[in-house]
Amino acid sequence: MGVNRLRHKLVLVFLAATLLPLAAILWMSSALMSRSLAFVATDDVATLAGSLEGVGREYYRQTRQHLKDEAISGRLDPQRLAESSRAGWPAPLQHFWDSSEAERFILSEPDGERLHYAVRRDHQLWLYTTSLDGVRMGEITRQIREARARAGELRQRNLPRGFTLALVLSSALVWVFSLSVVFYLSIRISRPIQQLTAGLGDVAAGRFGTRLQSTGRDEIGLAIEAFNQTAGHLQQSRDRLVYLTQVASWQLLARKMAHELKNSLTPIRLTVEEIVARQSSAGPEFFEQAAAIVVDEVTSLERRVRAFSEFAAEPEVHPARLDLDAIVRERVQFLRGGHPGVSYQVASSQDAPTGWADGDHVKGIVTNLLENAAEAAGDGGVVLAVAGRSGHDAVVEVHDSGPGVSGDARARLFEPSISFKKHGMGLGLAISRKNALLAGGDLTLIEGRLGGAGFRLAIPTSERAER
Amino acid sequence: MTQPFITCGTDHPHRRGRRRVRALLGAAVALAVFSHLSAQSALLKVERDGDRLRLSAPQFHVLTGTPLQRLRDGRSVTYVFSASLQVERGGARGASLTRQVIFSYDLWEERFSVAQVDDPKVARSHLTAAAAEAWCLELLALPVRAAPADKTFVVKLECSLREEGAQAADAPSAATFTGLIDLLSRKTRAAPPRWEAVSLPQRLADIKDKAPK
Repeated sequence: MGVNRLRHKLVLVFLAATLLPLAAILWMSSALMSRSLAFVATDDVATLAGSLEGVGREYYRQTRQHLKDEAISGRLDPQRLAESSRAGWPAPLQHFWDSSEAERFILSEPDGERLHYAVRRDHQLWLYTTSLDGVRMGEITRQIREARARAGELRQRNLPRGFTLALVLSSALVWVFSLSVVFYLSIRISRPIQQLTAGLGDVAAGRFGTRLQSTGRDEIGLAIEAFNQTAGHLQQSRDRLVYLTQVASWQLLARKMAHELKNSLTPIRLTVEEIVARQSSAGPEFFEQAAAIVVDEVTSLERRVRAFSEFAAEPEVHPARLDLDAIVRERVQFLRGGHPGVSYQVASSQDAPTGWADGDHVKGIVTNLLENAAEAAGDGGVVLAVAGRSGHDAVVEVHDSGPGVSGDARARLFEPSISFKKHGMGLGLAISRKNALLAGGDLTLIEGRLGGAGFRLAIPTSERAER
Repeated sequence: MTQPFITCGTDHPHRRGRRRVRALLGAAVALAVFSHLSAQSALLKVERDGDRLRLSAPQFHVLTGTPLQRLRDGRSVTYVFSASLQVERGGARGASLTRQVIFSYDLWEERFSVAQVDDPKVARSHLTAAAAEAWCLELLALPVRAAPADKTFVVKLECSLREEGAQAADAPSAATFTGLIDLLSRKTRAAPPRWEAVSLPQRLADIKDKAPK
């Protein structure tokens, strides 16, 4: 689409750059030609030929009269041609003899430098001849004929119109040919750019497998080659990253699984070894205790596997309007009994907004944060829960008076592999953050108000979500 | 309501004016057609001379207008004469004879030369215009046997100019710029002139034989 605009621009630029100068040149050429043709002296030539004819005719008449007078007066001797030799006469004399005329004037051929006066005398042809003193009547005749023919030709033509039309037509042909060439070149230029644009669109959409056909060694060809190389590098980088990410995840999961299973398997192994060592001397109390240990650890193993399953699961999300203040108070009330030594405080800001998220997820996240805080604070410690607004988000903050989070732990706090709780599996915060992200919000570590750790859950307000 | 074609009493001045203009135009057109026809056609006289029907037309002049000017400019002009016999006026052509004659003009003697194109020996020179035209009609003597013995017939004489060569041999090709200019600058030529003369309907028996018995 954009490239078509480029093509149209190129053609329009050509039109603008050529049409006006062409029109100006045509106008000037036409004016110059008309001015030049005004000097073509057609009428003058015709007039001159007419004058020459008049002068020539008068001279001819006078010469003819003079010749006839000379012949009649006897001052000029004729050449006598007998009728019997008629076959050898020139054609004009034969024509005269065949006619019924008594006399005739005949110009000598081919140049007409002499004039003959032919007179019929019985069976003889008397031929009187005089020179025209170098005046070639035949040549004058030819010149008059050519001049008039030329003038006639010119009169049958409208030369200014012919010149103008020929100029316009030939210019139009040249211009149309040039336009075709420009149009062809614009296509040649714009097509690779169009391909390049489409290719860049593919790359922007994450389709790094796109490759373009190189058109040559010009700038566009080099750009296409550079694009192909860049797309190749991006594809390699992405594949490598994806692979490395997958490997890292697998490694993390393997470490976690190994760690968790080892935690439960060690007591089981030790208990079984104890059973074997004491099998002869141990009483029923020992066996009951050993069986209880094994059962506990197996139960613990099952709980860990469930937790991993929950982490791996993709839960359905049912967002709804949530009163965060009410949820915080209800969860605090629920957990008080589990941690009698911890002092819970709830603070609500005046403008606590309604949130927009899955209610179960939010309750789970708040419970997890309060549990973690209670564990960190310990007996005599304090946990502070606050519901409020931060910018366009509805937030819940949970602070504790525990030891806080070390620098090393901050970096890996939300990874599914670390736990500082006695019975923790290191998946709580990871699951909580995943759910917060699914709701369109986030779970972050913040500066604690009570000297320990502080966490903030942010979810979209219902107004923002419904907008 | 329709208006009567002829009205009595008062007439609308606009309508009266339009009718007058129409009448004048009609008269002008009729006059132009009549004058054109009278200029282009003449009465042909047919005489018997032995076994030939000889033609004459004193009012039939072809040495006029553009071709005459062309001759006086020193160029030659070829006329195509054709005589045909028709049993009924407007009917199918019967026997016909066609002759092409090339005319030239002597500037100084002010006389015409004529020669038959397909037989240059058949030629005359030093002729007046009337004599040259009459000589051409002499070439068109039809055989008597071509005329029906018991029916009326007319003889029609036609004359036209032979088309000049489309292009001179040295004329520039239209593919060149010069040729293109030449092609585009040509003015539209007027239709070439044509002349006609028709005899009155007559029977062969009514035509006296001029030939000595």
